[in-house]
Amino acid sequence: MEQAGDRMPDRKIIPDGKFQTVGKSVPRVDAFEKVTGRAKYADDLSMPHMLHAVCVHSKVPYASVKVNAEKARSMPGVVLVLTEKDFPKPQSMLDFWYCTDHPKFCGDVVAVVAAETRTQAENAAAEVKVLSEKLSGVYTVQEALAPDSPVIRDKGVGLYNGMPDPSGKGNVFLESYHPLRKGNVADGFARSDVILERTYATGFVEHAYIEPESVLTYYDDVNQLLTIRSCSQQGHMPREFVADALRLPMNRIRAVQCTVGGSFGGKFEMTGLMCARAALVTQKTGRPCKITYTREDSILESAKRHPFYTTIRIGADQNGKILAYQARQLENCGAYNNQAPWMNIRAMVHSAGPYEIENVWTDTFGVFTNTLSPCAFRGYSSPQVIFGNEMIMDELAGELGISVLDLKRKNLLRKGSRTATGQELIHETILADMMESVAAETDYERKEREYRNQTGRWRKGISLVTSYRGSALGGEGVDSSGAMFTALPDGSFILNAALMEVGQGLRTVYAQIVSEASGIALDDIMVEAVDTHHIPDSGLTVASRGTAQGGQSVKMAGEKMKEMLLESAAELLHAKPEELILENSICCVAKEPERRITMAEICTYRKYAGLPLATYQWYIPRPLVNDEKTGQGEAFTTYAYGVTVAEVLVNTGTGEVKIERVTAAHDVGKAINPGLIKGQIYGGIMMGIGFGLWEEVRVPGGKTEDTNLDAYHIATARDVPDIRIRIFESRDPEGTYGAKCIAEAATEMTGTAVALAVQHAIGKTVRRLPLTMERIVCALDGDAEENIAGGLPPLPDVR
Amino acid sequence: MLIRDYIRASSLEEASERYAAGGYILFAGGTDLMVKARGKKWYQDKTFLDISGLQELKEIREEENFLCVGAAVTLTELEENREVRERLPLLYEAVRSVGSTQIRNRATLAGNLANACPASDCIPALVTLGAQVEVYGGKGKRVIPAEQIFRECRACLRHSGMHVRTCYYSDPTEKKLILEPGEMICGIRIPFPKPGTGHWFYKLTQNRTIGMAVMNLSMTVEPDERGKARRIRLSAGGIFPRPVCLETVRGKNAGKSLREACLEQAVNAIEQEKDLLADYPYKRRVFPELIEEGLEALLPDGEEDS
Repeated sequence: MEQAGDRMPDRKIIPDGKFQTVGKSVPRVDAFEKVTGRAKYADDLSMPHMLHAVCVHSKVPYASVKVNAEKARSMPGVVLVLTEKDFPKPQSMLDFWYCTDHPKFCGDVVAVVAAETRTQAENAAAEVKVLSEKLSGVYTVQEALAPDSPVIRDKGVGLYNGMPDPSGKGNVFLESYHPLRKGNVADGFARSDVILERTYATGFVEHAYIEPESVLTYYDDVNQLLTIRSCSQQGHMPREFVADALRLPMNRIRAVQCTVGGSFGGKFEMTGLMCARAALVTQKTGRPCKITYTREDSILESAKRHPFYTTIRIGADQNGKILAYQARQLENCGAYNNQAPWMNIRAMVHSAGPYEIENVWTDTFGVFTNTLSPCAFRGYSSPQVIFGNEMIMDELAGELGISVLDLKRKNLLRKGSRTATGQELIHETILADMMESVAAETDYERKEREYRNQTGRWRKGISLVTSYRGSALGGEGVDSSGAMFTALPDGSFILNAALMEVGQGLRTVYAQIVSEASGIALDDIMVEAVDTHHIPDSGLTVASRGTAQGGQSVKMAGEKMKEMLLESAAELLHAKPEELILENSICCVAKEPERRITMAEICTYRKYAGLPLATYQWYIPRPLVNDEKTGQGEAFTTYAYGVTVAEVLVNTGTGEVKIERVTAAHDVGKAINPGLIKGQIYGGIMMGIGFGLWEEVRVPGGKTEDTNLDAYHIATARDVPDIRIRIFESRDPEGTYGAKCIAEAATEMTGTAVALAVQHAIGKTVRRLPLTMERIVCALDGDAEENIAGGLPPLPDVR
Repeated sequence: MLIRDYIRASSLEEASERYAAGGYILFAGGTDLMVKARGKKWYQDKTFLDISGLQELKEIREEENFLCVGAAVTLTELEENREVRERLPLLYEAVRSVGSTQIRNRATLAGNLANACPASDCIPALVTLGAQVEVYGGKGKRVIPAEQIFRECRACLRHSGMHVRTCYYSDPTEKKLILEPGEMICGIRIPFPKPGTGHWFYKLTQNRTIGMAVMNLSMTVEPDERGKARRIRLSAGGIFPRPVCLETVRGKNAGKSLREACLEQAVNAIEQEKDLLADYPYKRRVFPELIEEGLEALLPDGEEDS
């Protein structure tokens, strides 16, 4: 895919020679199993006497239901039907319900049917009678905020002056509220020559991983542990859900990871709920139980990306210096939400974009509705935040009569800048350089001018989007991690780490990191699957943290192992440890390479000498201090920077869009495995194009028909444009070997980039994603003056 | 999916006899049926009667000025056929745009027609080309022009997206075709267009998926002896409740150019369906654009006259 045009060399700060395996595109450790089809996913597993369970969804978005399962129970092969009263604790510790008689969205589960075969379970599920007494719900953010709207959650609060007000009742999710206050925005606006206020909207987006959810539970044959095999992207969370639901001690429950067919943030809460439902069947029957969702069930119940309404007021002087920035990021949180309180830290921190602005006031919060359940999704608010920011920057440049590049040149974050949270950027900050480099390579400025006055049916458009992204969890959560590295007497090694391989290539990267740190050859290292009984919890596999932060303990374990091996090698070779080198599983005296010893000899020696053969290391990141009331502080240890240029062709008759080329530049700190990084970027770009142009789960009245991939369009192989990837490296001391992040950065800019390129092609502003053919034709017809802000409260008065 | 039974027919006569007896659903490629059947009980009292192995229905042969395509011929077989590619390029393009390679390996042209989905890619091409449908039944064979074999189906147009998965009709041959009970399609005869005939096929989709068209357009422009455009025929999918062919002939348009007359006729045709299309402002708005794009491609500038 990366073709001619590779003129610009990748930037290499750290000389390659310094590393043995880090920086090399070694093949994935799981490549063979995956390409040959030998990898087994959760649904491929089967056990003797296994039951199959099917979940019955409410289908009615907000109701009080009576479940009559009498007929279902009498159907052939049916073993049991569970309803809310059968669950020891029907509501999970993360707000969602395992099973409920009071559904608040159409994906709530009202019954679980277990039978001898899948078909029997499906047939019986169709006979579960659900009598629904419909309740009056709220199905849009506007309805939820209307003065007399029903309050659908007890914990919902009201609004005062456009901000959450705990003293009133309403549908605002208070815990998700994160204000950001910097400088004096009233003063900034007073000094501004141009002030714009715009509202931008995005929709519900489905993760659409290739593997729908599947879980299997059973009692193991040694300790009678309630064992979970599932598609969960979190190694340890299924154990917490099952312990919570069944009120069992956590040490009686074991979760062992399966090969995961994609997750993107989505296989967490709902997969945990499924584990608990299956576990209850297993507990009640003593038999293994599998639940595998159809695509329809998966889309109905599973998490989505939060729809955002972002209202921005921006003020600048006539030279294009931004003087004040105010925004409200208002998101649809669905009926239950575990993520918005954390996601909105990220959304708040990045709310003003990659620009140095003296005066910032933003309010970020969610609103409950009886729609779908948004949770984490690749980007964790950044695709939506970038959309609002970059679109208004483009409108602002237009209003000022300057090029958007000049506007960015005046405002982009540089080394020494203070971010919106007041954090000084002390590490190398190469965003402005990246932008110039990409603009030159893509000939952005010439093309942008040339495309302004096109006629004809198909028109070209080009856009440039810039972003920055706090690396790993930072102030969002706990960024510690642990790893255990074990030597075996034959000189082979096992690494146990607690973050998950979910397709992103983490096992391969961990093998590289531990190989680099220890001097053990890659081929001699086995990276074990996550097993709750083998390795302590290290938090969630989220936030693009696996390499940069999760990798730290892996590196420490490698370094400790090297120390242990050298200590014994020194004794056996009658040398001092510092005289030895250990590379690629060969240990020798540096000055006399023929004086060498194998790993097997060292490890066998240690075994019989009674010396430890394993090390367990725990990494604790440096603390970050933030003020919750103002959002001011050090939000993340470091930031990754990105630039994306999209080039499109738009049919002005039909609104069709063809993406011709996407150029994506990413500052990844240190590229541990450039091949895997490119893989992430290719996929991220395609996912981003879907977000920008096609993907939306429509939920009129709380119900959806977009429950399969015929109605919900994700990008296909035939949509792949010419993709040009530029990996930039920068000197950064924070992450493992200087690595920052890529998984989410890879997708966050693309949706905005394609929408902005369409905007430039058609010469009309667009303010809502996905930018479908229909919306493009409306924009061309001048109907785009659709009042997106209608029904939303005004921005808080900041005077 | 539950079906009562599955039988592979061993001859056309046997298939016809069984089919006439009732209780059967004709099955060729199954690419529509298998998707429709998933998770439903529509077919639990029906037997799938598989005609895909009947050699007499597997033929592609030339007969006078027609290409005769047996009911068991797959779209891939058509796609790989030189006569189709060279002499029926409109059909070739329509066939190629159906689903994916895997789907075309199983799906048949006759099945695509029999399923009678308004968003079919092949039906507008067949109608534009003036294809004829060979029907086999108790009274022997008869031939029906493709354009006349369909019943109007207004419900289909209220079916947002027209996805196979959510199709309303378990057996479209009963409700959407004019066939007598027991009659089955055994082949399709497609006349080769006059030499010099220009063609245009366009499938409009959000992205390049394997799914159904939002709309599609088949168009031919037939030249006169001097090579000048004389007659335009077009048919569109996804917008009419019944496949129709709109024909415009030069010199019969009250002073309007061929291009203007063609467009006007198309706009009038959808105006008549405006109640049905009330929820589809996009389709109404874009249909003339599709035609204009086709006309731009097929009618070189300056060749218009009334």
